[in-house]
Amino acid sequence: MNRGESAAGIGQFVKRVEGKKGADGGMNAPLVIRTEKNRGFGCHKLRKDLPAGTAGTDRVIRVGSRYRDGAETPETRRDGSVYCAPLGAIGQAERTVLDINPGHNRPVLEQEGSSDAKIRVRRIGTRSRLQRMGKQRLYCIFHVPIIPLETMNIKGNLKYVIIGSVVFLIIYMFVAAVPIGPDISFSPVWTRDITAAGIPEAKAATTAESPDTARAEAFKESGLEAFILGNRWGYFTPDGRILSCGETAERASASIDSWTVYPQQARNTKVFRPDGSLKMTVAASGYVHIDAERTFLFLPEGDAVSQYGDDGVVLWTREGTAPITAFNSSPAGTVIGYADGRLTCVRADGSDAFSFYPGGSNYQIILGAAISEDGSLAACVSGIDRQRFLLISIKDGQYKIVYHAWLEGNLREQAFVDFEKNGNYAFFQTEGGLGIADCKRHAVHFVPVDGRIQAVGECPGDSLFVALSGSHGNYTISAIERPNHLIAKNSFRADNAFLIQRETAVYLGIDTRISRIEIRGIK
Amino acid sequence: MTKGACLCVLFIAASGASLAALEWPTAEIHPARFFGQRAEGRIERGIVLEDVSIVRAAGNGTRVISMETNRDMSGFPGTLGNAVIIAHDDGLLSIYGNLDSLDRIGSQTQFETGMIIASAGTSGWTEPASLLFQVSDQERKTVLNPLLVLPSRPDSRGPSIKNVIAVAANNQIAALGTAKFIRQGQYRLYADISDMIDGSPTPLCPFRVSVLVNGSEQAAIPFEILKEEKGKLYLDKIEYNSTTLYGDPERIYLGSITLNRGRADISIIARDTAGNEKSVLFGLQID
Repeated sequence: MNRGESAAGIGQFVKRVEGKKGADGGMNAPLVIRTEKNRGFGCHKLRKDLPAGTAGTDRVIRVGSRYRDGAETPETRRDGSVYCAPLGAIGQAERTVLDINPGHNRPVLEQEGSSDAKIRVRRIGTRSRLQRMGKQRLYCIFHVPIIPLETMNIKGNLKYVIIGSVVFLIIYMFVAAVPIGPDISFSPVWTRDITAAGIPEAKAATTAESPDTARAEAFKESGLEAFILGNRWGYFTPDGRILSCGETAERASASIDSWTVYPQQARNTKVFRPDGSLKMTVAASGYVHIDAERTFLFLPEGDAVSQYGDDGVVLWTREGTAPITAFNSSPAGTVIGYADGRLTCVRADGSDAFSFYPGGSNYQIILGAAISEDGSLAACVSGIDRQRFLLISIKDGQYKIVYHAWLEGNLREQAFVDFEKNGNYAFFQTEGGLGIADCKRHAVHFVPVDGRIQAVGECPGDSLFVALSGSHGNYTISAIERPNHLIAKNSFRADNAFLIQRETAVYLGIDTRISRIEIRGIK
Repeated sequence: MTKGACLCVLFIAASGASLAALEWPTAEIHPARFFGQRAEGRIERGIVLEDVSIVRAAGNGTRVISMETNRDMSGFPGTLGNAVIIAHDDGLLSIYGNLDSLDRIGSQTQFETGMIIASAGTSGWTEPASLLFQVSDQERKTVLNPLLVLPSRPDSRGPSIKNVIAVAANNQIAALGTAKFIRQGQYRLYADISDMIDGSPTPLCPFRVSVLVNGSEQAAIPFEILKEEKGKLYLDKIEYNSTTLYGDPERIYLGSITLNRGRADISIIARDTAGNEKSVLFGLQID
């Protein structure tokens, strides 16, 4: 049996092999294995020069399921004989019979790793003189009971088979039916042009230090969202009202709590509330970064950052021996990554939760980092040449790497890393797209996404979320079903874009327009 | 020349060659600030070169990251702006900030000395068309004075020392240039010290400042490396951090000295990287 024939035959239900006795009494003539595949029959030829015949003895080979190895039950053949012969052929090495692997009693090309369909030769031996009558047979016994074809009254049973099948199908249709949920769809709710006339008072609000009371009331409603689109920033409401839209040639930072604009060499930057009233002044040089209700100042040397209180007082400052390459904060603390590979976590009170070098790569560097909302988890993407993702548990003043995964490729830019609000999942950028870490099961999944990850939507639960990727010029919005099923994506051209997802509401900003899109049909 | 002298010359030459691990990242060298210099009231981490057109790789190495100016809500606003960091074989990281664009780099990962990285721009917190150049030692976890690993430049001008004052524990100030008598006790010394180099009108930072009292060194500031402890960077000693070193808006904090009753000769010596030295001596009567 050559290798091809063996491989082809083993994957199928081999029921019986029959061969004609040659002139020398052996099986020198071509053998035919009748196989059953999907209830049909196929044929596979065995090699002509099967050595069994040259041994001059009648051979029986039993092929059985590996699950029945221990049974060793003698099999009764059609002619009533029982095979229970010992191993070994007379005058011939057993390995020469049907390419038996010595010591294993199995075909060399047996399909490793297969399950039920695995068939292998278990015993090779000679038949007794009494059994050497009639045609020489080679039985292959599979794990399903074998019903000799000759004994089946096919014509008589056919109508019962058909009727039984029909009844089964009908029952199955009712018993196994699963209701199909509604289709997932994206429905546009509104689109607003932020440059459109009709919102002059909103523009004024972004420059006023003392707004009027009526305006202040308008900004107090819940669900306010901040946006930055190119050189414009402002606030809008879920129902589509653009409450403010400022424009600047400088830099801007904005959150639902406050906003600021500052020049290249920023000093003494003023921070305003959404309604335009002055919140605080950051009395130092550097770039102000507002994350929710937290205000940070990145100092000019590139390796230092301070957090400021609402009264403009410095809460803490951290300096490093290399530039800051990763930064993220939550109400529970702040995580900072440096170019020399150090990862530091600062609690909300300014004390260090940890500071260490994850290492493990040829070039140590922290490309992205994040801390969970409750401060119990931190994550980072680190290293060049053996890049990896780390999940760090922070508990009772201790920290521990609870999971890590090596990543393919070498991302050589700042990587997006962020946690879902409930801390169940972390999202991170890899060279090949988006990585999704299951923080409870300690597993990572990957979704191929084009370009740099800009934002990942917040949608707790085993549902669908959207991600925005790309950069100036080309953006892609992807809809992903947990954990990593990319169900839709759409690319578009834009100079600037942003994405916010709150449950089923998706806010997508493209250049000068903001749209609300509702995801319908998700759990 | 004796055999010993020859060996000494060879050793110095070899040391000089090995120290110059990197090349200047620009063709024209117009320094605006040196390592350790006051910058917005804080310690400068590297050197700032102004009037820069083309920025080149300072040595052979691998690009480990390119950082883009963040102009949206997805990241944080790094003050280096568009920046590139290259890792070199000897554990050094060379950092190039305030670049105009990273388009020229593309997917380039390996750099050779002199390879063009970008033009200087306006993306970082510094003057337009300036280059922020820093060197970090990954193995020793320090920030290195780039002048230690760059080829030396001819310089015949020495540092200058002005406005030296001694501040007592009760914050009483004595100007050492005019005072002849002061009370015994511990004093904090401050001075306006800068260094000028050939062809540049910009006052720069010296390389080392020492304070000697009656010939004994009581304080020294080597502007060589910045170490980190508890989230704070400092020069040589923890007391030489941004807050203390540049707490006075015009002078450098030189250290703390103890003056005992009698005659005290206070010497302040400043030296630049080329070896030019300037010293001033104050003779005081301590009551």
